[in-house]
Amino acid sequence: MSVVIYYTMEAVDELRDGIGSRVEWYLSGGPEAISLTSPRPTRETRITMGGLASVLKTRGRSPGKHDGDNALVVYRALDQLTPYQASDERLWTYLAHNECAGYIARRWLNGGDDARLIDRVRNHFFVNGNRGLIRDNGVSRLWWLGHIAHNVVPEDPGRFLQVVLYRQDPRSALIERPSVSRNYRVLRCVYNAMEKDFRTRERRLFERDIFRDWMKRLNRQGGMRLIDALSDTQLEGMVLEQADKALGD
Amino acid sequence: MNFVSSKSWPWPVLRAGSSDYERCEFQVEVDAESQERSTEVTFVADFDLSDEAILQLIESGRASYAMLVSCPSTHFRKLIPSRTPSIEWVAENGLLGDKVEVKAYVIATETVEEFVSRNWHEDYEGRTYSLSPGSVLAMEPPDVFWIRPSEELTPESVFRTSYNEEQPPNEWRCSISGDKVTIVFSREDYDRFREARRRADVSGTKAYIMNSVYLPALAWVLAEADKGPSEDYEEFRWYSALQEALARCELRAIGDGDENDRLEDAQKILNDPFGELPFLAVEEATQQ
Repeated sequence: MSVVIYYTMEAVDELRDGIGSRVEWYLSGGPEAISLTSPRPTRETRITMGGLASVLKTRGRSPGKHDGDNALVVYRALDQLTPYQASDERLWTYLAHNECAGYIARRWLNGGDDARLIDRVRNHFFVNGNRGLIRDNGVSRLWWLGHIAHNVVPEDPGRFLQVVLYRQDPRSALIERPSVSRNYRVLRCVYNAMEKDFRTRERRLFERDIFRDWMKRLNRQGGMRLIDALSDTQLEGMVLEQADKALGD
Repeated sequence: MNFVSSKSWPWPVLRAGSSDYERCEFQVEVDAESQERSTEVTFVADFDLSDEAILQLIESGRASYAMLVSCPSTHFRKLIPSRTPSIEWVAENGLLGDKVEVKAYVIATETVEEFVSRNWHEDYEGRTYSLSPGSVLAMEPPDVFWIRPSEELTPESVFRTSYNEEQPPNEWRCSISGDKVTIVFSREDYDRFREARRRADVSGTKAYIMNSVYLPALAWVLAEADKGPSEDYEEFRWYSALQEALARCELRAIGDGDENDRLEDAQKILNDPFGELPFLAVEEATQQ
């Protein structure tokens, strides 16, 4: 076990300003520690954490398929963080530039458009706002995925991730858009319906048009009613009713 | 669900800025008390409702008062319902941070057939409504709180520095289109500024940097942000940090009123940094 370390804001700014001059370092996955001119660029906390570098997976042509497993690994290694601590860009920027630099380079910098390389570094090695925290930073997005999974389906977070990450549309709608992902009770009901459908051969709820129609219908319900106020039974009934309508049954 | 007073609802909703209800009121006082050096917060909402029909629904268990607490930074959202007109809820340390929004409602919790109130506007005369669970009966505009463990506003929590090859030397500018306000220098000035900032703690010249760069930058940012609209900025951290600092100094919030003297406000937020300069000048004169 080691302790959680974070950069000072001055160090984060120095790194952000120096992306262009360190492209090779990013591409090669951070072979050595970056030397910063900022005095005392890091701070240690008393929070302990497990190792990450050797356990994050990227094998195969689609490294994104390991996101579920990696999310559980990151969340468990850093399970002492509070949500407030986990919203701090200094912490995620430190992990991205140290222990997890190799993972992020393999996951996000392999292939793709070279002209957008600096944008990809900025998105995945740094944190840009709340959206960037949940969606883009190579490590924080995994922690938040794990956090949501552990809160929504505490008895089987792995299954939650397997189902929700099966297609890009559900992932974008359920995790990356705060209107649903912040509402764990609604998310639980949506997951229940999807998990049941996931066990069928057709998996119709995962079809792009059907899933989008279902989400639109749920959003419409939330426009006139505060669905947080529904009991579990009422909420489950409403989510299933809208799923049936989207399926055209 | 955002508060929009002009929003059309399928049934009358008691709320500020709407004439759906007359001769009655719905007011909620929300208070948040933070613990020092912690993000633990106690929220208390006191409801004042005078419509008999809605009060009867609450009495009979078919509706309830409710406080919805949400926090974008920590991805948190929780509805706290209550049958009594006062709600107290404690958010433990670490659950919330930065911008927290609290909304107060009265919500139907069961199906209500043929709902009618004699306080409705005359346009609704003779009508009744069937309400499903979750239907909003009354709502207040949201209260916004800024939760941070630290009491101080530091330049580092609001500003970052950068350079641009096209920036003329000896001039700098600010950009507010990111999570932090970016002070943009020419390349050479950027290196000089960073060096000056690095030495400031040791050489005791921090007040010069504060007065010559951060103070005018902050005054400009506040004035610029006042022009709004606030939706353009409110997701950025600089915005929440400044709103919190303004509230702490009992100054007008960003966008509140158009006759703010932001130069004066910036000095208050930064603890009147000009007051530090004469002491330095005296020290320097003594050393010579």
